[in-house]
Amino acid sequence: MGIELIKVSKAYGHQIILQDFTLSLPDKGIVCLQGPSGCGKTTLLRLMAGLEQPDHGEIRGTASQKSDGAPLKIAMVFQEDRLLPSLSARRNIAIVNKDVDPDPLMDRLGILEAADKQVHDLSGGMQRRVALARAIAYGGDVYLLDEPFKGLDPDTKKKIMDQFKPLGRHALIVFVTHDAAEAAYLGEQIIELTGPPLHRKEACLKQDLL
Amino acid sequence: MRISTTSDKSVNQNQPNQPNQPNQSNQPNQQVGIGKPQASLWARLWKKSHGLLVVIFWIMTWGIASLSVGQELLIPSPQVVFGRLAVLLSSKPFYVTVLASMGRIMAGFLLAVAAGILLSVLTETVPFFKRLFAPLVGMIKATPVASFIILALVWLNSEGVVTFVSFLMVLPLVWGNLSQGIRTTDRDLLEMGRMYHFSRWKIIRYVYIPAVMPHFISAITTGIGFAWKSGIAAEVLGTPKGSVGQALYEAKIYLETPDLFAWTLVVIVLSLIIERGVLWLIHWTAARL
Repeated sequence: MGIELIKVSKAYGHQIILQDFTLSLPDKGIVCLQGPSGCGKTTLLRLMAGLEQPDHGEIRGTASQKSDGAPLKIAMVFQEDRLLPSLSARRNIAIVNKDVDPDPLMDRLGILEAADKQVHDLSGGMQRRVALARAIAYGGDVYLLDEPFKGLDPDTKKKIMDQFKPLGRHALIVFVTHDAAEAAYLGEQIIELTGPPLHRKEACLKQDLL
Repeated sequence: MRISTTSDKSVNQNQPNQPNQPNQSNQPNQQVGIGKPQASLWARLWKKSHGLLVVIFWIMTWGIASLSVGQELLIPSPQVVFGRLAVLLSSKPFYVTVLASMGRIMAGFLLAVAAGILLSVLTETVPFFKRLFAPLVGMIKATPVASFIILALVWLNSEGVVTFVSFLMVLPLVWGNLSQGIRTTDRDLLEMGRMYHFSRWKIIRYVYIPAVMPHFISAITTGIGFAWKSGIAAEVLGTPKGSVGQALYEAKIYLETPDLFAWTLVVIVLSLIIERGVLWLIHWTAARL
């Protein structure tokens, strides 16, 4: 089992985001959490990342603890790009993993020509791709992607999603979106959510059509 | 790390690479290489003359003010002041005096910067220290400089007072600005750093320092002016032998207004030169970190 949430509750002040929420995710594959904005998807992702602690309940398999005891390595893409403003695009990627050559990766994501630019000189879509490239360069057992493709044009979006597909064979990719087309294209398993408090609408396993 | 864009530098850095490029004709390339700095030299000259015109305008305004008052005692004319300045500049004791004052004041300034960095880190990381030191900062900020000077004259010799007072004036400034810089550091980036397992050094180097740098530079710029003002005030009250403050004090006693003006000009120019020098040093260090 990759990540397991057992009867997890989380509230910010009086706002209840999660109440007795239970979810288990496999250790590999691509899972899409689809739901409207503000339903608590980001909080769910942050709980999985170990950035938030649940008020009640248990989370198995976070950055602090894998199901077999060792910590999971988590590559996260936040809703914001969160790039280091003083560095070039290339160094923003290289800084998370010095053993990976960022250039071929940047080439595949179509941002190689921007490699030496300071990140604040890049367009929004370019910055987004730098943040995605950083997560891929870091690698890990789990990728947690919060609205990863927002701000990208449809062609680029498809190109980037194709980069993530093979990663799902060895790792768990959890991505959050409110875009049904994105969910259908990339998600092997789509979990429809609504809230708050966050709960599952229905779950359907998408058959691999190819 | 790049704080500001230094376009001249990048032009110069590119030049040595040019002969290595697969370009057969080296001649035109070199001409371009020579042509570029010349163009920027003219641009720089134009900029410099701009500044010069501003200076000339204000000196003329001063001259007109002096003429209309008509009393060298109240507002000495620029000719007289510059004449006095020339006499000062040609005497050896002048340099000894200036260096002595500068040494005392900059010692206070540098100590304050070092202490300010340490204290800001300490108070922003340990809430207890913040509460402990908050009244102290408030007190230092609100106490008149003159009170400190007089009090310090009781404790220390007159040379020590200068350093101590400069230190006290600059410390809250550096401390406050850096604390604000640390507090306003992007939480999102810190979280990102934690998620990607950045080392402590990486977090400091790539998240904290870029965030704090503008605050630090602003503290340094204001701080150098503060150090000179308060340091010279301490010298005037304590009159250590062979100091700028003593010269000012004597100018006051003997009503030598031109001397007062000349020494004041010296302090202003020194303060500006040191400010530029320190800022250059900070940028230089930051770029090589």
